Amino acid sequence: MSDENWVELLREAHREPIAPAHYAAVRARVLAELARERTPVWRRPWVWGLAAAAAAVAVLVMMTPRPRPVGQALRPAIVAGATAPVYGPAAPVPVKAVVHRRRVSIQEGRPKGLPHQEQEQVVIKLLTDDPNVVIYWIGE
Amino acid sequence: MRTLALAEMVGSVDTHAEDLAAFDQLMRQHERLVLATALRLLGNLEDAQDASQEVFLKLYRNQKKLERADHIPAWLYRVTVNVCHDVGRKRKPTAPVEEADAVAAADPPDDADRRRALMLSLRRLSEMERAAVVLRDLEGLSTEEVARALGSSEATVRSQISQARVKMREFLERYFRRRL
Repeated sequence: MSDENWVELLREAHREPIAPAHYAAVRARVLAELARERTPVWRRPWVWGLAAAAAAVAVLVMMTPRPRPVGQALRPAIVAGATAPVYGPAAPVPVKAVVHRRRVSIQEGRPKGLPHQEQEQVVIKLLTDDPNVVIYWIGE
Repeated sequence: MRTLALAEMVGSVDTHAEDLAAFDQLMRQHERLVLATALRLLGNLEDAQDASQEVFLKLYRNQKKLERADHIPAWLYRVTVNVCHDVGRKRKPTAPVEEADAVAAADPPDDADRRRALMLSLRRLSEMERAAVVLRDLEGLSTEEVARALGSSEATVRSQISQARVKMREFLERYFRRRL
C-alpha cells in the first residue's frame, strides 16, 4: 500500500461521521457548565451546606466549656452589691460673668509735674452656682 | 458577553438565555472540527469529549478576543491541540502495538481493518507529529496554517510529517505482515 493510498484511507476514516449524540453530549455539558457559572453563589446548594456546617461548628465551639489553664487560681466570687459605687464625671459648673467698669486714678510712682492721668479698670466677677466660689478677674 | 464574532454569526444577543442559545449555535457550527480533531489526537471518544468541552468553554470565555468569525477555526485548532496535550498528559498511556496484535489475531484483513490499523499507527507518533499529520493530512490545513496552529515553523511541520509517515509506514508493514 503506497503512502497516497493509506493517507487517503486515513482521510476516509476521519470523515466517518461521529454519532450526533456525542456532539449533543458535549454541547449539553458546556451549556450546563456555563449556566452553573452564572448561578449566584447564594443559590448554589453547596453554599447552603457549607453555611449550615459553619453554623453547627460555631454553636459547638460556643457550647463547649473552655478548660482552665493549669495552675491558675480560681477567681474570687463576685458578690452582688459588694462592689464600690462608680461615679461618673462631675457635671460642669455653670458660670455667670458680671463686668464692672470703674475709673481709677493712677498717682503712685508717678514723677511730680506730670499731668494727672486716669485709667479705666475692668473687673470681671465670675459667679458660680457654688456661693462659696467667686472668681474675680481684673484687667486694665 | 456578546462579541462581534458571535453577533456576526448568530445575530445580536441581549439576555443570558439568548446568549447561551447563540453560543449553542456557534458550537454546532464548529463541533465536528473540535471533536473529530480531538478524537484523532487522543484516540478515544471519552477523552475527546472532555477536551471538546474544555475547548468550547475557552471559546466562550475568549469571545472578546476573537474579532472576526473567520478567525474562529484557526483559533479552535490551536486551542484543541493545546487542550489535547493537557488531557493526554493526565491520562494513562496505552500500548498500541499490543492492541494491533490483538486485532490482527482476530480479524481477516479488510478496509475496516486497515482503517483501524491506521488509527492505531497514529498513536505510535509523538504528540507533535500526530498533531501535524491530523491537521494537515486529515483536516486538510496548509503547512502554513498547521505551523501557526502548532506554534512552529513550516520546515518543522514538514519534517514532523515526513517522520510521522515513516513511522506509520513501518507500523503498517509490521501489522499487515503479521496478517499474512
